[in-house]
Amino acid sequence: MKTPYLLFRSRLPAFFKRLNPLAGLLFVLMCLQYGQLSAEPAPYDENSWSRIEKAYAGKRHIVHFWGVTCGPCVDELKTWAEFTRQHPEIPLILVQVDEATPQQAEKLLQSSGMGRVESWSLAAGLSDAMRYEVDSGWVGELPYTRLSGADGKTRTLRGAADFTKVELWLGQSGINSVALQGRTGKLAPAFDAPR
Amino acid sequence: MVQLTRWLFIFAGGFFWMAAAVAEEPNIATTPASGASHRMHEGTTCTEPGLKCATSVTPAFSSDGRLWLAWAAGGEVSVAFSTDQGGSFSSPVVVGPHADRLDAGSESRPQLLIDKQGRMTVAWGVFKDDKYNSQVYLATSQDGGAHFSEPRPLADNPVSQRFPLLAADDDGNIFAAWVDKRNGGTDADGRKLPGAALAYAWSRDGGNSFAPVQIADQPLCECCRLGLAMGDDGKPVIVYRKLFEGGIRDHAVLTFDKDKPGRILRVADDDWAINGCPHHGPALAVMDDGSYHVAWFTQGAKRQGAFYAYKKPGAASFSTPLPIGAAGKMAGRSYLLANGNKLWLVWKEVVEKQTTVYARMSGDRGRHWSKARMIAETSGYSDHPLLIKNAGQTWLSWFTRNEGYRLIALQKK
Repeated sequence: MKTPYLLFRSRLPAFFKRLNPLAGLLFVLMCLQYGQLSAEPAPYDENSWSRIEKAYAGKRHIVHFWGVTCGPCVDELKTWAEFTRQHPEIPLILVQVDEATPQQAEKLLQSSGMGRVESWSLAAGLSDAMRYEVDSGWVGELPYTRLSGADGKTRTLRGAADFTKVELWLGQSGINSVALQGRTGKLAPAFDAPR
Repeated sequence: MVQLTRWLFIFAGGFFWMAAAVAEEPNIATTPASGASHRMHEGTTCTEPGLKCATSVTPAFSSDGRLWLAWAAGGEVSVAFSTDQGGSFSSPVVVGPHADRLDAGSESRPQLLIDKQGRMTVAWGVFKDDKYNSQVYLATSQDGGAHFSEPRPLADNPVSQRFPLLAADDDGNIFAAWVDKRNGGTDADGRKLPGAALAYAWSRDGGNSFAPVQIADQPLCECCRLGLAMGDDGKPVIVYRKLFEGGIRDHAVLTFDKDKPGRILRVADDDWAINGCPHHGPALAVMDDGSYHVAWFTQGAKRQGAFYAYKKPGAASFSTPLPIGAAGKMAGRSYLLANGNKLWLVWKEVVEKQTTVYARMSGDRGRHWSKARMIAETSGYSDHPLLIKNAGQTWLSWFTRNEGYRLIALQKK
């Protein structure tokens, strides 16, 4: 006895015979796209940085270090969330380095509207060596952002990012975008006046 | 044959369907491309309240020569003492926070104050909501550490308090200062104002109660710890990362005239404009002649790194900043202590996996310094290096994850 599915199939042109596997593949892709929306950060420890470097070697990507207790960091997450929506082609890797549980970090990521990005949160204390391996000039200030090109060249941003610089960096990689130009991590207007 | 092909397609489709279901399972979907696993870390994270799991350890000597430690570990603040200069410790007593979420970063260490009468005050911050607004709590002991009170808030506060510091004058009055957001709000145009306020309060009864909170200055960096010293004249002096016009986060020193905030002096024009958290607080020592000594960190337009400067008594400005440590070695976390006419400076340097604490001493109130001497090192997590004195001797107090707590004499008696 034919199933309703096969009945349906028998009435379609030959190329639709491949519909089922194609639909399956499509579903896989959809799940990969949306399955990570509520991602709890993975524990960041002394082995994590080398993993990140290895995974993104030769690829353009951004690593953004932030902390749950750092007000300017939390304010800025919203702009990074917007950035990932506008530039899904640029991998953004988030690393939370304050003393907090992954659940606490995730709560702030969700309330910032952050979508599917690779996310880490400090497992135990951040040792000096763990900062040194990232950047021997990074003494702990947050937020701290690394813009890395496919050629391995890295530009660092200390404090809330000036998104004009981020967009300029994208421009150097051949991506035209001005959507976030002029945006910084919510710099208070009282201090916006030129110095 | 056609039927067989159809069944093949059905099986293939089913396979992809299963793959999709697996991809939908949250734990797999959240695993970073870089390949970490949640299970990987179990067993290696130190989560007990014991000293070995501490993130920060604060020392103080009581007048009977016992070394007391207050530390943050496993979400608790504990206290213990040693009668053999840190070789062994009494059974720890957990004094707080009891269910609240401890602010346990290395920049926000628990405070421990022992006055001349032996009364003890332990202070710490707890996060009271998901926005990381905090409140400062105290536990006190009136019987030399045998019993501690239940934790209680230092002051009423509707907004947020962080980074408490305590100091006592010779009469046993306790001065408390912290970073407070009670005045944080909006300007006339409804725009959010940056930073926080520098708040303070005095206790005249060994920490049992505090006078109403007052604001000494604002705005200052909302996420930067303070430095505090009590002058021999009983006037507290605070160094803090002030928010200057243009979002500049440079250091200033404020001298109290007993109950009122007095003069504010900028330590150096570093010109560090950062809308962020430097996570690197300053150190302050006030010597017996009234000279001020400050060590700090900056990434300003005008200088970058760790620096030291002094101010002679009565002078209106600080000396030219002197760089601390070797270039390119992440020098920072400096700490200062005056012991008689000697001034001690310690700091950390980092090269690859090795963290080293160095010390220098000045016998002429900061004008000239001894050569940097290596004191201790570690290859794992470490707290900031601190200095402590007792009976004429100066010690380095340093907690490291691999070696544990160390008290190292910097000079012979």
